[in-house]
Formats: sequence, C-alpha cells, structure tokens
Amino acid sequence: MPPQEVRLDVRGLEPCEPMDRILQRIEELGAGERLRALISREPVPLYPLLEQRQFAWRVARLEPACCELLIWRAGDPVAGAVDPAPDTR
Amino acid sequence: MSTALSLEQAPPLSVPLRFFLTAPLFGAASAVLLLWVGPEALQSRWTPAALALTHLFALGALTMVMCGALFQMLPVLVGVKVTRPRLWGGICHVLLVLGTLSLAAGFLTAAPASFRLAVILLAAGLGLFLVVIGTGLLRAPRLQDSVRGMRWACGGLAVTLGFGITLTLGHGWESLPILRVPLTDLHLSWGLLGWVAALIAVVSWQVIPMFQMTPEYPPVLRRWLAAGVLVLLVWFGISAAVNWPGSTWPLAGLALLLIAFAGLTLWLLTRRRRTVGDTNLSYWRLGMVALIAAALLAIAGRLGMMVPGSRLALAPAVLFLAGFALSVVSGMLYKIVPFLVWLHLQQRIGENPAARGSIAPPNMRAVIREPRARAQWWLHTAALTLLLAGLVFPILLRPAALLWLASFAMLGYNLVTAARLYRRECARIAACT
Repeated sequence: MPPQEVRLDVRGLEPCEPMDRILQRIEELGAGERLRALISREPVPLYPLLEQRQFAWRVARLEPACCELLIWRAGDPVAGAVDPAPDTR
Repeated sequence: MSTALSLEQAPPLSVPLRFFLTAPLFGAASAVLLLWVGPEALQSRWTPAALALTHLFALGALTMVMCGALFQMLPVLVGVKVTRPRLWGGICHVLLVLGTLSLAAGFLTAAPASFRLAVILLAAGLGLFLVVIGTGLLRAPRLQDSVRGMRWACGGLAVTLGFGITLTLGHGWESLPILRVPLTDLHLSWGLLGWVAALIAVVSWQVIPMFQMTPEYPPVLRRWLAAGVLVLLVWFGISAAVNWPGSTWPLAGLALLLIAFAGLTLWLLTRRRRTVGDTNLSYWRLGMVALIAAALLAIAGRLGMMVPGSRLALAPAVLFLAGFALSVVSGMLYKIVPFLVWLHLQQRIGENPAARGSIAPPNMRAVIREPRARAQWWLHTAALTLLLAGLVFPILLRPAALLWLASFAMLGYNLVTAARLYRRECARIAACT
C-alpha cells in the first residue's frame, strides 16, 4: 500500500513560521502517513527537533530557493518507503 | 536521512546568553569612560582613555557577542559539533571578562601588573576559544562556504591575538624592545578586518537570506571574501615589514572588497521578499552605509587628505567600530536571540510529551517587541551621529557618551526581557502534565 501524503508549502514565510508549521503538522501524522513540505532553505535546526520527537526525514534541494522535506514517524515502513522511479515510458 | 546534530550535543541557551548579556555592560562601561574623561579621551588614538575605551568596546562588547554567537550558531546553523560547550564556554567567558577589565585597567593606570594579568587571562581565554571552535570547524561534516570563511576569521583572530599579546608584553615588561607603532597598526588592521569584518561577512551569508528572505550572496563572494581579506592583510604586513608604513595597494584592495560586500548587501536588501521592514533591517542598512564611509575615509587618510594624529583621523575607526560592527552585531542580536529562544523552547516541548501539540512557543516577534528594539535603534543612531559630530565639535562628545550609555542600557534591557520570557515559558512547559 502506498503511503498517504500530506502536503505543506511554507516557502516565503518568515522564520520561524516554516519550522513551527511543520512541527505542528507532523504531530497529526498517523501510521502510513508522511508530510511532504516545500521550504525555501534547508532547515538544519529542525533536524535535531525531528530526531527528538522520533521522526525520520529525507531532504532534497529542488531549486536554489526550494527544498523538499519528507517526514514520517520513525520505524513506519510504509510511510518511509522510497518513491518509485517515475515512469518515463 | 540527512545527518543531524543530536540535542545532547547542542549547547544550552545559557552558553551564548551569558556572552550576549555581558556585552551591553562593557559597552556601557566604555560610554561611562568617555563621559568621565570627556573630549580629551579622543584627542588621538594613543591616549590611555582611547586605548581603554577601544578595548572595552572591541573585546568586551563586540568580541564577546561574536564568541557567544559562534558557540551556538556553529552547531545550530552549520551543524558543527562543539566539544563540552557549557564548560569551555563558561571558562572562555570568565577569562574574557576578567582579561578585558585588566587590560582596560592597565591602560588607565599604566600598572605593569594589570598588563601582565591581562595577557595571561586573554591569551588563555581567546586561545581556548580558538582551540575549541577551531577543532569543531576542522571536524565539520561538510566543507561549506560558512565553515571555510569561519576558519579564515578564526585565523584572523589568532593573528590579532598574537600581535596583541606582543604589545601587552611590551607594557608589562618595559625592558622588552617592541616596535609599538607598526605592531599596533598590524594588530588594529588584523583585528578590525581579519576578525571582525571577516566574521560578520561570513555570518551575513547565513543570516541575511534567512531572516530578511533575500536571494543568496553570489558563490564567488562566499568562497573568496574572507580568504581575500586575509591574503591582502598578509601582503600589507609584509610590505610594512620591508618598508614602513607599507604599501597602499593592499589597503586599497581591502577597502574595495569591503565596499563591494557592503554594496552587494544593500542591493540584496532591496530584493528581500519580506514586505515589512524591522529594526534588524535598519541596523544592516546603517551598518553597510557606515562601512562604505569608513573605507572611503580610511583611503582618504592614507592618501594624506586628513591630518594624521588629529581627532578627525579617528573617524574611520569610529565609523567602523560603532557605525558598522556594533550596528550589525546589535541587529543580529535582535534576530538571533529570539530565534534561539524559540528553538530551545521547542526542545523543551519535545522533552515533555504532554506539552507536544498543546503548547506552542511564542512567535519570534513576541520575544523582543519591535517598538522596544526600534527605540534602541534610534538611541544608537543618535549616539553615533553625535559621536561623529563630536570629532569636529568636541563639546558634543559628552552628550554622545550619555546617549551611548542609554543605548547600551536599552539593548541590555531588551535582551534581559528575552531571557526572562524564556524562563517563564520553560516553567509553563514543565507545568504541562
């Protein structure tokens, strides 16, 4: 079963609003769910807070001013599944 | 998953805060000294009061904040681990406080014992700081431009400290032959440019895009600015050693580099995505204009367009220290302190499962209220204006000192309110069951 995704775009918000909203939103994640957030800068200070709350994450820079952050509850195999490669046929 | 620093490795808020809260006290002490001695203090840069005042300001206020910021910003923003920050940060802080006081007392009383004590305390304090922070920078997980730039800036501090120790040894043991004027010029240029300007530039690459939401600085500037400053300083040092007072070319290069940095920063600030201005923005603008003015006046002085040794010849140093460095450092405090308060409160919430989801830390803007920060900016700007005018009309120097005192008192008060809010919120989180 593919993971259920919640999307959140916090680009353009003033610090610390983006991290604040992400931390609020992840508390509502259930089993098999993950958050896909778009953020202007890589949120290095957020990572220890995620680790402390036992969440796992992956980060990818999509553009110079846009990072994509994928967050799920640590140990959730469904939510943490790697995205399949896009079908290019 | 990207690598993260665990919260156990991150220093507690008390580590940077003790440095930040001490800085306004030293700033106020320098203002009191100017108020007490009056216009004679700035008769030239060689008066005992001018030397004491400069070191109270540059070491006690500026370096104090910069050291405290590095202890916290390195792990938080750059992901660099600092070893035992509570212990080493606490020791560095005490040694820096006592060393600065001893040095100022030495200049004011000319007592060799004060200089001898100062040299031991400052060499130990700043030496320890360089070892702790330098080790962290050398072990950085990723060689980013910030890490590279901070290494150069720490190198600048090491050279400044070396010249400073040599000069202080000359005060403490008068039998030592010291070439005081050339060494002082080298100490001054490395301190102001190799340490203060280089570190401020490196930190600005992080904080300007982050807090003012501007585009990033160009990679070529991030990569080479701090290195360029230090290379030009080495060139100046070698030329001065061969043929005093040294070549004007490296100094002109340094001035151009800093003008380029300031101009670019002002331009980036015009392209910010935030529509609402704040005190931080005003401080950056003021600081960059002052930096450009300081660089132009320094070059004018070098070309003989100002009477050397006159009070007016102090204008570039005043513009650099009070207009550029203090403005930018004050502006950064108004962002960094609320940010750290928010971050540490989030950590506290994370430690208490009952608080998660039910308590939110206050917004950054609520940690230090904008009207209070703005009032302090006005005091700072008025004091700077009067201080510069006082170089032409010395009667204005005592009123300028009064305004400086008020400005530092208000800065200290604003920072204390943030610390008190943090304590209050911690208690609220702990009470959540």
